[in-house]
Amino acid sequence: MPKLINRYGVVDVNGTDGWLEYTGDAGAIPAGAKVLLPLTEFREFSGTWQKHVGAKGALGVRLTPSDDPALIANDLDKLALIAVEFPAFTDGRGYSTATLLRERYGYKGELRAVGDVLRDQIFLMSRSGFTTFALRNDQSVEKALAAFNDFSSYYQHAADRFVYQHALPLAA
Amino acid sequence: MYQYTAFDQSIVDQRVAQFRDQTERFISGELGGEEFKPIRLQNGLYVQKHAPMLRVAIPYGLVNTKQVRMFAHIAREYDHNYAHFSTRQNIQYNWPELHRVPDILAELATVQMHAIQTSGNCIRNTTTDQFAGVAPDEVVNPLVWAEIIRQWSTIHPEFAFLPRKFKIAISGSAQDRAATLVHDIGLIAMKDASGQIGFRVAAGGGLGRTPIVGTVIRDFLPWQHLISYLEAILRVYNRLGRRDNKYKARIKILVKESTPAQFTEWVETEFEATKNGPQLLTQAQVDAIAARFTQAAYRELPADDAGTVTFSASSGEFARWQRRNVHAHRVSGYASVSVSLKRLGMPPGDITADELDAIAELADQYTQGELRVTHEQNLVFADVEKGELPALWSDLKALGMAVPNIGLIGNIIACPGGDFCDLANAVSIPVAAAIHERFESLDYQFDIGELDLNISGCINACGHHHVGHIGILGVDKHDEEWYQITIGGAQSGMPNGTDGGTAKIGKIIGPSFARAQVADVVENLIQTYLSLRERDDERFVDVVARTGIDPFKERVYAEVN
Repeated sequence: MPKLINRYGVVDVNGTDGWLEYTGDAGAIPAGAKVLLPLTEFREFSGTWQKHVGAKGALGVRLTPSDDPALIANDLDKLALIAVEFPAFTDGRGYSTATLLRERYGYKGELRAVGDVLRDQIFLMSRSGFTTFALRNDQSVEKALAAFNDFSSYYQHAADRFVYQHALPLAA
Repeated sequence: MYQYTAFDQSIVDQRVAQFRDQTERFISGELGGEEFKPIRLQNGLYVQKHAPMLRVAIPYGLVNTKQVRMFAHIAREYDHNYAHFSTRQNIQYNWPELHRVPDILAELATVQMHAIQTSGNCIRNTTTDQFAGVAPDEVVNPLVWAEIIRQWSTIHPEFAFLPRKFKIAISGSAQDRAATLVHDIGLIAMKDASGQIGFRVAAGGGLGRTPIVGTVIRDFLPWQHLISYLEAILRVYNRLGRRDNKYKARIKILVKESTPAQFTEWVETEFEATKNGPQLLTQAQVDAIAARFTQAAYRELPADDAGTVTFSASSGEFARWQRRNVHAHRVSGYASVSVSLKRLGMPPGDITADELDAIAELADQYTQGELRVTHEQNLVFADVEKGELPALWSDLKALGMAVPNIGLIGNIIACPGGDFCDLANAVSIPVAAAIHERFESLDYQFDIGELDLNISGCINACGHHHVGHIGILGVDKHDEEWYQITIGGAQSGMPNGTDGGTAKIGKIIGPSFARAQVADVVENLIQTYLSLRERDDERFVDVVARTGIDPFKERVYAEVN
């Protein structure tokens, strides 16, 4: 299982933090669960799922790189997690998805990078507003944690200022 | 010249440390080749035929003599005593060893230089006019804006894994010397009626497999919004640009396939939502960056120097160099001087370590310690007193570097081609050499007049062949090197607008030629031109525009068949 980290350490060695991924078998998701839904499923059946998981559970959405985050812009208060998929670490669309969620739509909750999540992109992902990282299996947790500090400063504003409030203006 | 702050320095230093760690992990096997590839590319390192190639950024072409001496040191210490200036205001080393590259980058960092984002699918080095800040026809000095773009784009977290590479060029003069319309984004800095600075923004230009002249998507963008507008374009491209086919992944394909109108609408919608956000530039920020540029100190001088005028009348050789390589300056009594790196027996843009040192020496003596690197692969001394021109010429001549061929057929632009590059289908350097030899006579070159001849060893078009008045493209036919010829291209319009005032893509004249035929074909094109031209100042490219390609085509293929 991939390990789940945030910038302060390991969140869950099993990589899920208790979230169950819905892949078509509703029976596998008990009442009260934290469930991660594909975008289409969430858009069509969020009411049903909300009832199913109840007050004890929680809903999350998993976005593929081509999913438009505008489609959940009005539902962000229903979501405890948004996971953005990186099918390959070279596919950079997820960075814009994260930026839009934070900057444009004001999402304040957990934003998780999943898929091909590697040490060498953690710094960029973190700056783009991701807060948790489901590391690819072969990645060293220790080295991934060090990656948050690859640079102590940077030139441009980015979406992380909504999360950590430490961004510096251009050439501060 | 922009001077680093401690902040700038810390970013470059940390980048070196990061890449050192990444290189060590690659060498130890911890980091796989596929994962290391984009990392090394974004640090300027290609894997080439013989060795890795390291491309070092010369941001918007400005370089000081301390940095030039560092180029020489690196050429001696880590390479084969020479370096190559590319067509994008970069310098390239063809023989470094991978494990020593972090050391090279560390040495560069000591003189405020880096190789960040000189390759890879990210925002590359921003290029500009080699006469920025000194050109008489300049409306807005683009240098401070180019530095703002450099800072903004450096390690931008959102745009490090774009569908494909992304190049921005900016010009601020009546004549666009930065070929802005053949860049992913081309900016023209200008002033509106009230004197406010802003930018004309073009997007989706580019060469390569599908050459396209960029579309102007904004006629005037107030300067405060520069960053948010660039981000709007990049965000639209990052999300919607094609990733399924690397040959269709450049922004020009997105602009073309979605239509320029639709693309503009996406960008404007994105911009509307962000334009007054934290990316809004303030006068204080711009002033702070502008204040970090060193300013040349000029003496009060008469427009012309009597001694130089007399010398010019007595030395035809000097006069010829002056005509081609000395350029007007905005300050009375000063000139800019081009040092041509297009010399017989040397690949275009190549320079030896000793020559780099010698040039630094001359730049210290005749300028205020600064040089510019041009996208035509030459060097420029920007602030020379006219009274010093004869002495500078004579010193350059002693180095064999007073070749008076700027703007002439001898000033060939060429990529490194198949001799070095893994992508190339064919060699470029030997073709350039053959043409150089054929047109060795300077009298002949002067008679032909202004002519841009550009050579690319493959369709990636690093030699900008599409925008050469004569363009030569290496193609592979059954494992043999062949060359396709285009004519009538232009990197930008004439300032007076006589040619429609825009960049032009050259037209292919017909089936390609064997390498041995190329010099003859060029000769035939030139002969055709000379027989057709109506006035001495009607350039080759003007004749092609007037007559079309047919007379050229007929003559060339009649001779070949």
